[in-house]
This record gives sequence, structure tokens and C-alpha cells, in this order.
Amino acid sequence: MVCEQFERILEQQEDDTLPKPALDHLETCEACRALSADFYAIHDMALELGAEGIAPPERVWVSLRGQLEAEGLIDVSVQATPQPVYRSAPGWWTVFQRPAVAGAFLGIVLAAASAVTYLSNVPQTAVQSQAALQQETSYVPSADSVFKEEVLTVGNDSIPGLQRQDTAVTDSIRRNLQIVDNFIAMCEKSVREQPDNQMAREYLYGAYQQKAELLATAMNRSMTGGLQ
Amino acid sequence: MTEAEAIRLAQQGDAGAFERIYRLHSRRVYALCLRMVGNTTEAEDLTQDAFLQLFRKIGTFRGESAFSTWLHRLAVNVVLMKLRKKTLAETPLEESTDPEDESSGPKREIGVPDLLLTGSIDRVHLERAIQQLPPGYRQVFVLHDVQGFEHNEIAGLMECSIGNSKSQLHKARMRLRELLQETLRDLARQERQAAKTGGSD
Repeated sequence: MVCEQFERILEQQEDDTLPKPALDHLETCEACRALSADFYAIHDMALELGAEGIAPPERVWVSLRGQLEAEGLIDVSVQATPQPVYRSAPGWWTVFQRPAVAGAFLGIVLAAASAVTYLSNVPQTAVQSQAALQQETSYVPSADSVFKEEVLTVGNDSIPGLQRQDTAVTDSIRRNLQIVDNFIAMCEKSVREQPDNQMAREYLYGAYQQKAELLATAMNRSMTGGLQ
Repeated sequence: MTEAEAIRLAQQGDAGAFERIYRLHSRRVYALCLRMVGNTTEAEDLTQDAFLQLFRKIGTFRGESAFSTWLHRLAVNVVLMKLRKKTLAETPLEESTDPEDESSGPKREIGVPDLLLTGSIDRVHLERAIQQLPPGYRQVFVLHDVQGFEHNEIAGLMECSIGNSKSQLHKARMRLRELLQETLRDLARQERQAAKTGGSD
């Protein structure tokens, strides 16, 4: 048997068993032995590939669900199985997949942090009168309060070193930290679900940086006495 | 919720059950679509189409076959239908599954020392090489070696002969072998360069 005949047999075989003449040829031909071994290696690795999946982006389900509802395939009167919060609000995350919006959100957080720093240098009475003035004149809720109402649940975790400080500033720092914490949690969830989502990773990294800055501000205030 | 429960509830229109089924199978269906078409946007559309068809037909599922088998066959059909629509207008199927002329197909160079792939390639390299295959080779390779379909099933799905399926698979493996060997050579070259640079420092 020559190499070309062996290759034709290899092409036609349906299982792992080669006929005797082909096996005899393998014993004497190094090139065909290498070819056969490589084919097995490729086949084995391809099988491994087949066993593992790739997660589609969340928007596929969002769009599919919309279509199922539009076609009336999903009965809205049937009680849906409870889902975790992040799944019941996939549209929220979709919004954050747009870099500009995510950037704007982080900008709000940054602005809030800057405002906290600024307020720490203003006398307490001025802060109070400014807050009173804002309450009287502001008919439009601030961006972070809207965001808070929409997606956040404010917890009661205490921040070391902040208990002794001015309540308004402490609350402000705490609120900003909670905004960032919630954002981090959502980013982490998204990264876990879609490890290949580079954008989610970048947002997560940005959120970590924001948290570090806020904590540094809090620590700094704690050490310097803040508004004591 | 087990898969059987999810199927029963989905047949009654339960939204949570639909989502459960989607979450259970979407990774494999999306991977299949992505490997077959090599394009994320198309793969997303095809995944959505496959599940849409599945949910439209779920009321007819009686459990005679495994649900996953039913779903994956349906997904393959959706992908192939799409690819057929794309190529039929331009070329006959036999040509579309055999895009390279016999004479220009992968050939083994007798006498050239072979690099053994066993233990040297990883899944990332293979995945990348699969995407470089011509569409006809890629489809048969994915169906046979990755998804585990038999040649007679592929012939039925792709409306071609069993011989054609075998021939496409063989050419696909030969081409993959070439691509992977090129990768190995590149890696070896990079290592040598790195060693040289490191040595000269």
C-alpha cells in the first residue's frame, strides 16, 4: 500500500478501526503515522469543544422574550418563576452596555464624591441652609436620587471612622458607597455570566477605582477630623 | 425546576419555564451557531431563531426523543437553512459545500517532516483554526467532530451524499492540521526570538 491509498482509506473510514493493510502500512510509514495521530488529536479536541458551550449575550434572551410575548407564546397570566433581581431587569444592564451611559453614571458617582469632599470644607450651618434652600427650590430630583429609587436598596452598613462625623456628610458618603457597591455587584454578576464581556470587565475595574477613591476620602476625613 | 417540569410548564405558556429551558441549553446552541457561521451577530440571530422555533413547537414535544437531541437538530436545521438561503442563489449546494477545487485542496507534502499535534495544541488554537476553514469544510467538521453527528445524518441535514460528507470532513481535517502546524511553527519562532532577545540583554 502507498500513502495515497492509505489516505483514501482514512477518508472513508467511519469508525476508529483501520483494515489490516492500512495498519501494516502505518507500521512502516512515519508520515502516515503522524497524519493518523494528528487526526485523532484533532478529533479528540473537537469533542472536548463540543462539550463546552459559549454563553450568548443577555440581549438574545431579552429580544427572544419580547418576541415570545408579542406572539402570545408566553402567557402573562401564568405566574412566572421568580428570578433574581438582575434577571428581572435585564434592560437596566443593557443600558450600561452603552459606554456613554456607563461613563455618565460613573461621572455622577465621581461628581457626588467631589461634592462630598467640597461639603466637608463648608461650615455646618452653610450645609444646612444650602440643604434647606435646595429642598425649597428643587423640583427636579437629583440624578443619584433617581438612580437610587430605580435600582438601589440602601443598607445600613456602618463605615468605620464615620460614626462621629456629621450625619449629612456621612450619609452622603455611605449613599455613594452603596451606589458603587451595587454597581460593582451588578458588574461582577455580569462578568461571572459572561467572562468574555470585556466591557463589563472595564466597568467593574472602573467601579473598583471609584470605590477606592470614596474609601480614601472617607478615611481621610476620619483621620483629619472632618466636620467634628 | 427539572427539565421535564420546565418543558411541561412551558407547554402551558409559563414564562419562567421558557427562561429555564433557554438557560439550560442556550450555551450549547449558541456555540453551535457561532462555530457554524463564525460570526457573533449572525450566531445571536440564529440562536434566537432556534429557540423561537423550539418554543413555537414545544407543544408538540411528546418526549419520544431526548429534548436536547430534538433541540440541537432543530438548531442545526435553522443554521443550515439560513446558510442555504445565503448560498443557494449564488452556487449549487455541492459547490457550496466543496468550495475549493480538488486540485487546490489541502495536500500532504511527502518527505516534509510533520509536526506532531498531540499534546501541543489547545482548544483555543483549534477554535481559531476552525474559524479559518472554508464554510463547507467548517460546517461538516463542526457537525461531525464537534457535535458528533454521523455521516448519514450530515448527508440528510445538508442534502448531500455520504461520500461528499466524508470527503469534506477529510479535507477539513487536513486543512486544520496545516493551520495548527503553522501555529506551532509560529509559536516556536516566537520562543526562539524571545530567547534571543533575552540572551542579548
